[in-house]
This record gives sequence, structure tokens and C-alpha cells, in this order.
Amino acid sequence: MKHITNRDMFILSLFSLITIVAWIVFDVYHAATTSQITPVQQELMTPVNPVFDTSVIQELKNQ
Amino acid sequence: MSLLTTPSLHTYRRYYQRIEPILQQSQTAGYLVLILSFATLAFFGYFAIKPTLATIITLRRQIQDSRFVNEQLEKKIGDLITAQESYQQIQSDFPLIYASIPQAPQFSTLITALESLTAEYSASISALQTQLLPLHPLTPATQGTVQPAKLVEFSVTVTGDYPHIVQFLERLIRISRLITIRSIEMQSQQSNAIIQVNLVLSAYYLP
Repeated sequence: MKHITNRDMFILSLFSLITIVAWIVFDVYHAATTSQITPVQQELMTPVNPVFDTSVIQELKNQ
Repeated sequence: MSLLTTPSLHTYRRYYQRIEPILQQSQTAGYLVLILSFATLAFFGYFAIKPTLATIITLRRQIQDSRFVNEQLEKKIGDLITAQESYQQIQSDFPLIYASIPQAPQFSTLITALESLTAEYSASISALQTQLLPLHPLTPATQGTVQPAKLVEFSVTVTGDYPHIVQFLERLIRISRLITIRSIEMQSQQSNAIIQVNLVLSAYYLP
């Protein structure tokens, strides 16, 4: 069995640190990009057109 | 206490004695410091920094989204107030709208209107054919849902002289009920001026 040297341990710990840092970055990125708006809120936010097409009513009146 | 600690110290002392010369090597000591630093950073990064940063970012995002929702809802409230005002303005026109597109098929009312129209222009209905349709809506409209207008298609055969038929047709497209003429087919009777018109019509209702 190959003897584990100081250099191997150093590389192992370095890659562990890099992995943890990458994990943190992706976790933060995920938290930053994930919307916190619920489907109920999405439905409530659906815009309403407040303008009635009165020209149609006028046409009906003219008829 | 001394019974427990004394053999341990003795044992560890042997380890220290063995480790000490290794640690005195500058290269090993350097590696050890680096490895321990990385391990500490990784440990605290995962167990302390990550949750803290994630919480901060999530809360910031939550605040941002809540502001956006608030803006949209305020805009919608404004739109609803405007819509309510417009609704009140057109409320007097509702009978006209419901006469054009009623909430039920109201086929009998439509036929009555056609009969009176044909009588007005000295014509007569000789045949009438319609699809299967409900006299009343089968299921009540669900609150808040908008359903498309439904179609009532039927064909009617009207008999009369040409000028009256033309007047009848002109008047037909202007009756209060919204009607679409899908097709017109005219046939003249052989020996007189009486013509027979086959009309395919569509009326609408909004359940």
C-alpha cells in the first residue's frame, strides 16, 4: 500500500476546501435565483384589464 | 482523577516524544498548518458560513419578491377600482348585452322573435331544424371562471316574396339577439314570385 505523504494530505484538504467553497457558491446562487413567490400569489397577481370595450355596446345600441 | 490521568499522560507523552521530531521538520510543519487551515475553513464554511449566507440571500430575495407582489397587488387594486367604476357606468346597458348574448340558450325566445319578424314581412316559416341543445344550462358557471360563448346552430326555411324576404334578411341581422348567418340558399317557386330561403343561423349564449 502506498504511504500517504504530506503532499497527498495537502491536496486532499485543498480539494475538500474547493468543493465546500463551490457548494457554498452554488447554494447562495440557488437561494438568490429561486423565486419566493407562491403559486397563490402568482394567481392573485394576474392583471385585470379595467377597460370595457364600450364600442361593442355602442354597436349593439346602434343595431 | 490522578489514577485516570496518570497513565494517559504517560501514554501521550510517548506520542509527543515521537511526534515532536516530525513537527520540527519545517516542511511537515508547513503542510500541517496549511492542512489544518483548510480543514478549519471547510468546516466553518459548511457549518457556519453557508447557512448564514443562504439565510441572508433568501431573506433579501423574499423582501424583493414581497415588494414586487405588493406593487402588483396595488396596481391590481387600482385596476379593480377603475373596473368597478366602468362597470357601474355600463350597468344600464346590461339588459341590452343579455338580450344579445343571454346566459341560457333561450331558443324559444329566439324562435318567437323570428316568427314575429316573418309575420311582419308577410313571410312564413315552413321548416325549422336545430341541434340538440339544453333548455337550461346543465352546470352552473363556476364563480370567477370565464367560459367561452356557446353556439346554437339551427336552420330555418322562410317562404315569401322577394322584396319581403330581402327586408326580412336586413331586419334579421339587426334583431336584439346576436345572430350570424352561416349560409343562405334561395329557391324560387316555379309559377309565382314566391321564393324559399334556407338559412343556416348561429346564435350565442354565455353560460
